[in-house]
Amino acid sequence: MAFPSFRKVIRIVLAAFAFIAFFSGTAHAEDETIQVRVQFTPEGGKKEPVEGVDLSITDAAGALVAEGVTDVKGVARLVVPSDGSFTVTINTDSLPEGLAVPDGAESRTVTVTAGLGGNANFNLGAAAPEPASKISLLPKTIFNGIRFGLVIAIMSVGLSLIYATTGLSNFAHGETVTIGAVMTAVASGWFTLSGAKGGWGGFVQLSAAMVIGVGCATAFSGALELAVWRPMRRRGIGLTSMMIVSIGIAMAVRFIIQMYYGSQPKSYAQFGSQQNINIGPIGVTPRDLTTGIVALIALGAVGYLLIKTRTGKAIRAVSDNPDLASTTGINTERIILTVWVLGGALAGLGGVIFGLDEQVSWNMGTKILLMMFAAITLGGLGRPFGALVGSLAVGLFVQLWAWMFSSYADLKTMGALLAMILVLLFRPQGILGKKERVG
Amino acid sequence: MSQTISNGLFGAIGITAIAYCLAAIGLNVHFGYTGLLNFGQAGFALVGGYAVAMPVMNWQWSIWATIPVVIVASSIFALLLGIPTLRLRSDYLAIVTIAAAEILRLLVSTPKLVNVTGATDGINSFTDDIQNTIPAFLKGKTVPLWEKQISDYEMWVIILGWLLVTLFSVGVWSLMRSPWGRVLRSIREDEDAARSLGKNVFAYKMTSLVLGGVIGGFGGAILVIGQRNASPGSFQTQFTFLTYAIIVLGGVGKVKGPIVGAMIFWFMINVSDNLLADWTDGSGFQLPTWIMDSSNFSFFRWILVGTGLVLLVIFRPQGIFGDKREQAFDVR
Repeated sequence: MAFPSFRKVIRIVLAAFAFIAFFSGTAHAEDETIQVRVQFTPEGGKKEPVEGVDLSITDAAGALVAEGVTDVKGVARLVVPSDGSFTVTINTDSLPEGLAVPDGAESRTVTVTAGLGGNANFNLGAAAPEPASKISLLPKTIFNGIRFGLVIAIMSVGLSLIYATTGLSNFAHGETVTIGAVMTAVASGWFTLSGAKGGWGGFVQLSAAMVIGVGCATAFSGALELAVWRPMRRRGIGLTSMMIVSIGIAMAVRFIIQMYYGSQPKSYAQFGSQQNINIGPIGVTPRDLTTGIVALIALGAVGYLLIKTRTGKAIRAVSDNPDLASTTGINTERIILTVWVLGGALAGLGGVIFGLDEQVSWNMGTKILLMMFAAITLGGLGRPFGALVGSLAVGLFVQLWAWMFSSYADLKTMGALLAMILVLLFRPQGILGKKERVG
Repeated sequence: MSQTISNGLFGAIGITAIAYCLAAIGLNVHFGYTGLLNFGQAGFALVGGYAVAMPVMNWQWSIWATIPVVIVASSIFALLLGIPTLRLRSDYLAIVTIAAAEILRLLVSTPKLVNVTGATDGINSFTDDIQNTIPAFLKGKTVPLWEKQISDYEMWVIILGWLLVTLFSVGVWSLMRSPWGRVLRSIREDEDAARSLGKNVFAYKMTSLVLGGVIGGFGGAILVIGQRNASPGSFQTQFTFLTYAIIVLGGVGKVKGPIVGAMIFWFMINVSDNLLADWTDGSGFQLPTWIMDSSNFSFFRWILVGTGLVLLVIFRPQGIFGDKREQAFDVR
């Protein structure tokens, strides 16, 4: 090779340093000196010496031959009895707080040349921030789980009410969710006149967009009832056919959305990053807090409607027994339409919130649909409050799975589905379901 | 145009059609004859596909030795699904099967298992045994299908696949004419009546689930062999829904339903794809770009499938060959 290798150049330079060190030091004639330099480079700054680091040198046989501490210049000159190969080791306990040796670099081998000594440089890095202990993450995990559960709950209450009143497992419910989020995302693009992200202006713009999105979801759900489900019921077409029809509708609508909205997930135009605000041990963004409260209010309103109002009583009557309900003078068809409209609005609202938590994509509804089915099955098919209980269980389970098995976090939805199957094994009617013998 | 028709014909007899046809034969046993709402046929196909690919890849088995693995693995999956759900209302079976299929898909997708399942990229190069057994009359030749050239490997898989379809169709046909098949149909029509006659409904449903599941498993096996790749992307929930579309199209509860359905389905998919590609490629007749362009026309086929499924179920629920008096819809 025409040029000395890089390693050789380094060695020559190091040897030169050692040479200087040798003559500036007060070494015994036969002894050799190893100059150890410990430095730290702050991010974007110059190298700084690190003082007070304990060092030890062992020879090839592993016997301790020298010990020392770095001075104010970050340098320690240690005397070794002969030339040859030595190992310089940093005592990591002596490092100043916040500094660390890169993994595996605590010690290095130095070749000491007779008459020239040896040289070792240590470059420290910033210590990795102390990993938060698992337990300290638990309150936040539970908070997230409940929040996610509430979001699933507002989506799946509609699914559950529809099942209870008509007996239909509506596979197009996921697309109602998607429509709510996608139309909000589209409308949010119209409203960004100021161009400012976040803040109260963004909040108002996004709220206005949300009204449009939720309106579209409501209209979609209601229109399906009027145009498809009601005529099918009149013709006496059975539930399984209707379920397959809902799969067909879901597929058609999903790919219409993909065709015209695009395959790329997007955020709302007003979306910006936010600082956490701390509530006790839980750091939460104002956004997450607001959406959590909105979800809670929506659920409370649904609960009030179902328990206290005449419409709610009628809905519960129809879910218990449609024929009996209509003989008592309840307009069953109207109640069913109400349920579709209400369910659509809630699904749309859930979609808007879900689009804030993640991103708005063409298949977000399909992805969450199975979680919704798991929630209402867990809670007990056809029990409106079962949907709430089941959703909270699913939300908590998903987040706790990710917390517990952090290296298998990608399987967290799998965990929720598995839990649903296991619950069905031991309590087939679900958590709140009525026990009935089928077979 | 002749190119489009040739591609359509290839779609009708090709590997995908065979795989979906087998899955549909299995689903027809579940849904068409027994009235089981199995929404997890993708899971059975996945089990079958990976039962072929994994032993060859991980333990250097001969691919032919994996045939019993397909049968055993699909049967076990059916038992696991059936035990918790077959005593419950049919909705529960639907939810649990769709969930179980997703569980399997997520499990084989996880990067942690990349050495066993190949994660999202899946498993490749497990088909040497198929390649090596191509018979001499095919070896190195391409088979023309009008304007479409079929490679020797594809043709060999197509032959094997249609043999399987024939085998299972004849099997299902004779089984359904047997007393056993009549009990299945009586369960579909009225489960309580069958039970009151002393039939063990649970056991009949379970055998039906296992039988249809194994056939679906072979569908997945043919799919991964034909694609020379076993990856989770082939076994999404969509797989099950397309299988439903196929049996509704061909006629639920009919032996020829899945065959006719799969052939017509994939013929139409390929023809419409070719036509739309032709109408958006910038020359000759063009669709307005606000309707679709070359970047998004490929999604249109699924819109067609979805709409077609809706119209079929509402206006011609018996499909093309079904008998309106005997249709499996409206199981409870």
